[in-house]
Amino acid sequence: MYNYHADIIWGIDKILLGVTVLLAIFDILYVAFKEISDSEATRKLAIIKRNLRDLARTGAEKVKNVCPVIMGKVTSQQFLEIARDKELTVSREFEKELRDCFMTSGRIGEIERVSQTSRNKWHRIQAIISLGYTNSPAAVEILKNSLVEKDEDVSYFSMLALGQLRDNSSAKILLDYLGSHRNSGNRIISLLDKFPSDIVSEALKATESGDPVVRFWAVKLISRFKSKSCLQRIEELTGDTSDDVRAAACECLGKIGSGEAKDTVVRCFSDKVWFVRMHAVRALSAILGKESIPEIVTLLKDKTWLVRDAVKKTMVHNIDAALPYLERLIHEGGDMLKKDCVEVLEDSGYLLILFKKLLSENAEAKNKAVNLLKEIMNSGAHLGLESALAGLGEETQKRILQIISDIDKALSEHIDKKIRHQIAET
Amino acid sequence: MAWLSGVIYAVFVIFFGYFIVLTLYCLFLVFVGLLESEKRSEEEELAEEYAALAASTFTLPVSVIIPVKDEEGWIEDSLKAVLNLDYPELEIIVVDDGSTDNTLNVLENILRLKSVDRVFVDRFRSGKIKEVFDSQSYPNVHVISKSGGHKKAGAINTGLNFARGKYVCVVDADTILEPDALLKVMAYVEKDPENIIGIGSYFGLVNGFKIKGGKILERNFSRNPIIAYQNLEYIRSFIGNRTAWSKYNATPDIAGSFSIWRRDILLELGGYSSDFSCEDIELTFRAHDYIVKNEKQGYKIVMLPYCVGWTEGPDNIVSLLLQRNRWQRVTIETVWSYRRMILNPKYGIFAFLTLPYFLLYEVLGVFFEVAGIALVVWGWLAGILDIRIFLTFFFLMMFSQIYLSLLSIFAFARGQKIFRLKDISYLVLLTFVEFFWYRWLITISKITGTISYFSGVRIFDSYERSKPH
Repeated sequence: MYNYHADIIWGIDKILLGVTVLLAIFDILYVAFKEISDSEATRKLAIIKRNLRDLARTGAEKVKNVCPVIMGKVTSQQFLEIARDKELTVSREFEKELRDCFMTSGRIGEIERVSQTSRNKWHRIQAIISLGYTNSPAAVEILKNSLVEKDEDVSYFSMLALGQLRDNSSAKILLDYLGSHRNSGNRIISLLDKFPSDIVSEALKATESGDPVVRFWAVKLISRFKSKSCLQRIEELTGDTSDDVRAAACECLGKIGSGEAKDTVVRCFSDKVWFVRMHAVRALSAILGKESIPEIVTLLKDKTWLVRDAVKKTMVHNIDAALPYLERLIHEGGDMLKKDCVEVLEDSGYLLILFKKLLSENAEAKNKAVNLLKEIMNSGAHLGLESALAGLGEETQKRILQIISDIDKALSEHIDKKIRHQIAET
Repeated sequence: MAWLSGVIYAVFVIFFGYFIVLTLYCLFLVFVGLLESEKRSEEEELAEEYAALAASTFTLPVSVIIPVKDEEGWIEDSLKAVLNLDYPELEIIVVDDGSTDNTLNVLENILRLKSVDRVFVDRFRSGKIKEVFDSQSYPNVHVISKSGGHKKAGAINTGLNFARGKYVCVVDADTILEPDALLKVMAYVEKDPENIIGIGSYFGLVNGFKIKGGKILERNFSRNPIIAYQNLEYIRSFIGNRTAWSKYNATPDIAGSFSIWRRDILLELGGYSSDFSCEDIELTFRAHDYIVKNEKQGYKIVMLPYCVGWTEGPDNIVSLLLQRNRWQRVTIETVWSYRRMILNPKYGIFAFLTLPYFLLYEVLGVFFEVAGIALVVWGWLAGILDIRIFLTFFFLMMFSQIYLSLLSIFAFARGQKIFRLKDISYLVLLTFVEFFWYRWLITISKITGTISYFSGVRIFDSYERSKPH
């Protein structure tokens, strides 16, 4: 007979039964306890916040006396919740007073100690984040050290805390850190995004970095602040060896919006990389508006459709300025160019203006409009005539269809049927 | 009869060994999952000023793709939930995959659609585009109407043709996202956007919730045991297994209801494949393959324990069996397609930690269980095996499963505030009776799924859907 060791398995069963029953009870008790403690913590925090809100209304003198007493009793977690509360910190002055009174409450020493020495990682991280919300003079140095620690979590939260300090020294540390943590560029710049514009000087220094990634993000940051003081350096960067930096520099010049940069941007139209040319078009459009049309129109012949698309968008938004060029290009250009011109006319809503001119009493204007319509129809591009006509009254539709019929009878009949839903495109 | 006793004993030993290995493996995953979800929950609590991230001009742009087919009952709420997302750089692309019901009309009512000409490159040949619309109410929303026939994968690929964000988030049309879903997950991505190529997060079941205009008014967790057991399964799967696998960059599946991928990687992978019964698990396997073949060992596929949303689950036994049949089929299809990766050192921990589990438990487990139990029962009925042996073994299996479930519930309860005491208590109670019926339902669906796979019969591709309350 084979031995199945039923007794041993039965013994294990009994142990498992006990363990599962205990674990079930533990699960339920744990959740019950957590609910009660969470609701108690929420209640206590609500009281502290209410007291602080009341205090905010009583004037600076009382805040100075009472606030440290309140803040001296709050836990690190509560301090974090208070510091992050947008309602409480809605007033800059009160936010500053809260930070100051937390400093004078005597709690900051404890937080600084925990942020450097605690063995419990999450307590330490909580203290690190709290430091970001204080005016502690030691905060920058502590966070600078913890930023370069091996533990990824400690390092990451130190970065976030430095992002809360929002001064030049923390900006410099973050920009330096970017050089060794290039993958965090987006996150670091999104933190610096919230800093006051004084940090532009640090960003400008970072554009001198030998690392193209650092230069790229520094330019992106300068774009955010649109600082004219950086204009010269950014213009220099349109000749950078990195494609990304040149594109970012063009974008930045567009954001700064200074006419002084016009020649630099126009020079970028002949850049070998398509996205530099695309950003140059957008930049010039942002700088000069409709006056950019004579310059950018040459790029309507660019080999990359995204560059042409950027030109078309500018023309759509400035159709009056673009119209003379479109009329000429429809007449002279190749098939692709004609199609692009027609798309600009269609997207800008110019077709409706054209219809009005077709029905005009002024013979010269009417002839000009008929000629343009002929060019448009002969371009072979999708016209969108049906949808433009569909919005008009029946009588107007008939008159325009008659003019279309004089140019192309078959097309006129086709459009007529489509408008009346007698045929559907498949 | 001696030879028969020998056979039964041998089967018993094999099954017992299989069971012990599996239990220890699951126990390991639960403990790792417990630590990982603890860590992530701490991060979630401490980490981000999400509001600051939401306001930043440097937040990574995301294109949300919602593939829709005959979802007139759900699309309004799921789309509105996406419109309610708190995220600054968002493009929404709804792909109507040849719906025959009122789906397109519902979209028209919400979005005020205007037909447009749009340039796009058809990279995937995922079906003919009938019409492209822009929303007149929401400038960042586009709707693409296409012909059906290329499954959900085809619809997602069509959306991918139009997407422009650095990251693409695919959301099922029956999923209601939490307003901070994208922010929480993308805040994690922002840590390392060059290396995080795919990311997902926990979601639960929406059945029983009160929803209006895409907003969850009441979170009444359904007391229907079918739904509650699925909630328990999701907890076990997301918190117990997937979070643990994620720690070792060995995530086998970013679930389709909410998945985020870097768009350039999706394009390099050639998009989603419509050759499989389900597209999400295969894509994740292919991404692992891509990482190894292109020597991108720094790339990560991550699963987070944050609750990002709620999806509809089947609320009756038949629908459940149909859904699980499909899941079983796709698991076998995928494991078979990528069998060369199993225990292949090039694929690292994924090959040694995740794939053997898929092969031994998800694919072959059903054979082990059925053969083992059938022989033990037969041995007992034939008088060869003492009923005491049968019962002791039965209880061992049962208590082990309860133990693992309770640990998963504990790990889950530590990091969340959504399930209340009464909900957790109900789940705890259900764990004690799961082994008497629900587990065998899943076993049946796995058997039928396996039969479907081998017979090539594909009759269970959809199940009856209900409308949100």
